Amino acid sequence: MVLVEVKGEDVLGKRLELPQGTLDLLILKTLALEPLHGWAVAERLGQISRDAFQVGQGSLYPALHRLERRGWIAAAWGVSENNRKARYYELTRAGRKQLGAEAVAWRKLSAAVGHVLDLA
Amino acid sequence: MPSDLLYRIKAIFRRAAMERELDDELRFHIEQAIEKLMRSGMTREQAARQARLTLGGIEQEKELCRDARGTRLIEETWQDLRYALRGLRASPVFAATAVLTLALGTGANVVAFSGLNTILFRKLPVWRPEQLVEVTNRTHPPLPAFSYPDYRDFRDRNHVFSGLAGYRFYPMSMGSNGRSQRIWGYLVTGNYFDVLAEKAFLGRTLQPGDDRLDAPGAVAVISYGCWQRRFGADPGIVGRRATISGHPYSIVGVTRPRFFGTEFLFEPEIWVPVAMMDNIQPSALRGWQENRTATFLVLLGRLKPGVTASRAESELRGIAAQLGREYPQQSGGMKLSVGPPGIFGGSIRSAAAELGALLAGIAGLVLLVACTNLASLLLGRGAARRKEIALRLALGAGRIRLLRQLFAESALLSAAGCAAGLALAGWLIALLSAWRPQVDMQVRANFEIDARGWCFAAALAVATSLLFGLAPALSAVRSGVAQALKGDPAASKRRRRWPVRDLLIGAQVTCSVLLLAGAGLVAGSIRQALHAGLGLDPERTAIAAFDPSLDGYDDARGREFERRLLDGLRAQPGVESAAIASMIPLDLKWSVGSIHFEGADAVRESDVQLAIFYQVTPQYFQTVGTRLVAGRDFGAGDRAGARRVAVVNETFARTFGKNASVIGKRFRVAHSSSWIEVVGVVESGKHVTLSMGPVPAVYVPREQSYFPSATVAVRSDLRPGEAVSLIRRTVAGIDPAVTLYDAESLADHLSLQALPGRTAAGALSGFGLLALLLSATGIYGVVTYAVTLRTREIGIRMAIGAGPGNVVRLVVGRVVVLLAAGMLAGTAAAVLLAPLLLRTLFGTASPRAFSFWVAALAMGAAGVAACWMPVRRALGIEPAVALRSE
Repeated sequence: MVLVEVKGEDVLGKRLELPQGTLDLLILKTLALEPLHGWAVAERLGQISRDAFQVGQGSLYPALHRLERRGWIAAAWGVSENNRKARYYELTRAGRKQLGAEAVAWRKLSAAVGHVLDLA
Repeated sequence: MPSDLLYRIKAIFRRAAMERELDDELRFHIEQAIEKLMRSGMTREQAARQARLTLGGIEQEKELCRDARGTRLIEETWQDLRYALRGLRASPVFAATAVLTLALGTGANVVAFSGLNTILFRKLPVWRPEQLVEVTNRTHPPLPAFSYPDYRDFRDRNHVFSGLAGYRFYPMSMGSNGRSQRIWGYLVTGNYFDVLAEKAFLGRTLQPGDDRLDAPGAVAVISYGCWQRRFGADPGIVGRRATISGHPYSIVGVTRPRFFGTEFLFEPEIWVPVAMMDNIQPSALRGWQENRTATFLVLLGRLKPGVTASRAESELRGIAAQLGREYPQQSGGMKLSVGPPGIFGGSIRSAAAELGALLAGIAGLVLLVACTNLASLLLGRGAARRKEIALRLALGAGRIRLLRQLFAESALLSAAGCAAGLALAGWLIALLSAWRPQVDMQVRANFEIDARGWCFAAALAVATSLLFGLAPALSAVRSGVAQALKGDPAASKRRRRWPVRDLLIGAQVTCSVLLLAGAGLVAGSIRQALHAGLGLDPERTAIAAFDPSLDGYDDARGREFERRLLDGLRAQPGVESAAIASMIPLDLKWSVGSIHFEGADAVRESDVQLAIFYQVTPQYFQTVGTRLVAGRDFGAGDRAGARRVAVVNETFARTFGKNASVIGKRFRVAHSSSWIEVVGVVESGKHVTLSMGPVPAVYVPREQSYFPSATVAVRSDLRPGEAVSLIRRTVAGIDPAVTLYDAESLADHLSLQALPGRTAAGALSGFGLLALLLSATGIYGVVTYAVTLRTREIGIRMAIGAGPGNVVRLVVGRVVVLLAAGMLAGTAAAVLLAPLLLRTLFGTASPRAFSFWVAALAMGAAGVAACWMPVRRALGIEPAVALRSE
């Protein structure tokens, strides 16, 4: 389980447990636009979700390394916007396919769950 | 997913680089966070603190990232192994002892296993060997042979074999430059090589057309080894002429290097068609083509696809029954069986397998002792580490992780031990295979460590590491944290009255006594078997074998040669008597004949009693030391043309005389026409093997029944070497062309027969001593450990007035009980197993209690000696010093 801190609305206390793989999906989506380093991935996730999630510790980097092992993203050293050495991650072709598949699955799942919640 | 696997493999080899990259990556993240926080107005210190808080534990994050690489198990195992290696390097004596112990244990096991493997499972190195079976005739053991006409009928009437061949192992001579050398070869039926589907290395193999009495010229095939040794690997060998047993042959081919005939333990050098029988062995098997009582062929068949050995057996039994109806006198009552080829039918196979199983059992027992000893040593190491382990447990190390770490040490030890054991076994097997016993036969102990052997060694490594590693590791991890940390090293000692470590000592003592008792028993029995009931007095007798027919002597010249040889020998000073016999008892060859007494009813061939036959000159009995019990020895009057006479042994007299005296009775051999009268009776003895019970034997005068292959025996006051060279000189004085072989003292000749027993005795005593040594070190370790643990207690006891007796009781009381129990159990096991052991080796079971006591006492003495040093240390403890030390 991936722990994500949820800010703003107090839904289920302070923390929301995302289903396994959700963070992976979000990372893949974030990297779909352009290669980013770890810090930028965290920042981008925060911005896009309007700070709804701030990716907490013990999850981002392990997730990046796991995705790299699976061959969905590839890593290379580059230079950051403030001229520092940074490790950039890039979506691979396999990763793009995986993102598509996972996005569809997620939409189906959330639609179904939403449907149940609306009706029940 | 292959890329995943690739990543993991890369992760293992790029570990250091990946760690560095991870550091850089996380540092970059923190720097970025700090900058962001500073932009919101914090000072650098505040920002750094906040950033670290948000990131949580950096080390924890790193651990999770390492997990994500998916190499944790391998990395940890690697770590454990390196840790274990460091630990072992810190105690080299322990490591060396353990590896050596295991090497000896596994080496012995692998050798025993390879021997058994060869005897039981190995296939001949020919095409589709699993289809080959040997047909064995059990009518007259130990001869597994068939007559030629019976072979022909089996071959032509069966529907189960795609081919059935016959062969006979027989000595021949090969002449070159006027001198002949004795070699062993096969007489084979023309289809022999076709049945084996064996192709020639050079030239061609024998074919059915070669195996005809009217074949245009005699041909032979030689082995690769023969070609190399005797013909200097002559590339023009095909078509060369050679004189074989006095007749001209042309060599048509050389077999492949890997081909060694169809027996595992003997290696022929030449193959000739069975049609050449009358050239190879003149006059002995006259009319063999049609004589159904002349049995000499071993049968080898290739099963048709889909036919099982048992179906073949039942069909052949049906044919045997037919033959029994058609020729009731000669072929009736045949008992045959079908089995794997290569070990002379089942007769030798079962005996060899029993011996092999015995050796394997002994080797297993030694390995068990070795493992218990190592377990005991490791338990000791574990006890010394108890505090460290307790501390690590308290700090949150997982028990499984610790267990793995401790187990890594034993896995490392057993891997090293088994590797060393394999090397040792390979060396021993190479020695065994190179060993050529001093016998007139190409004997080969052709073992090798095959794939099965490697698997066996690997299985041994796993089994031993579990056996000696698991219990100590478990016990170390299980110990109570609190007590161990409190610094009470004896804490776990109190949990059980008889801890495993002590019980192991008892088991070791039991095994050691068992092995030692077995060694003593076998050694004693060999001595007994070589003296009692032998029917020979080998002490001052030397022998040498010869065969003048190999050098072209006819019977008349052969007889003349023998007369001159005996006269020459008897004239020498120091020579008490000299004689010539067709063969010597307990040789690897023997000749048998069926006995038909005058007045007895005509019976079927299978019901006829057989006797072993010797053709001997006068003075034979006194020369080899066989006692005359009744009647007379042969004399000068027993010559060709005179009344035919025989001397028989007591077993013969009992079998045929039915308690009445046989002297003066007459019998015939097989279906020959002349009657032979019994004139004397000699003591029974061993004839075929040491373990075989008494068999009937008949001696007839050589003058009345000449056979060119013979052995001369001389009884003298000379030393064995001198006596042998006396024979050599005398023969050379008559005709230097006549070759002597097997020239040795009679005692040496007999020692070959004792070889299986000697091997077992050697293995048993070697292993027994090893086990004894291991047990003694085990006891030493336990007592020393007890003294170390209880130094303070002993000090207190001495301070309040305990005498030396109390201290000794305290330290060794338990060990003495275990030692005594182990000695008793070992002796009991030896008493139970001894009959089995002796039956396997000697065919008799009369264990003598003496060796049991010696074994038990030796173990007891070793045990007491092992206690001596630690007890002296315990007695030397100064109460004041001991109490201050902790």
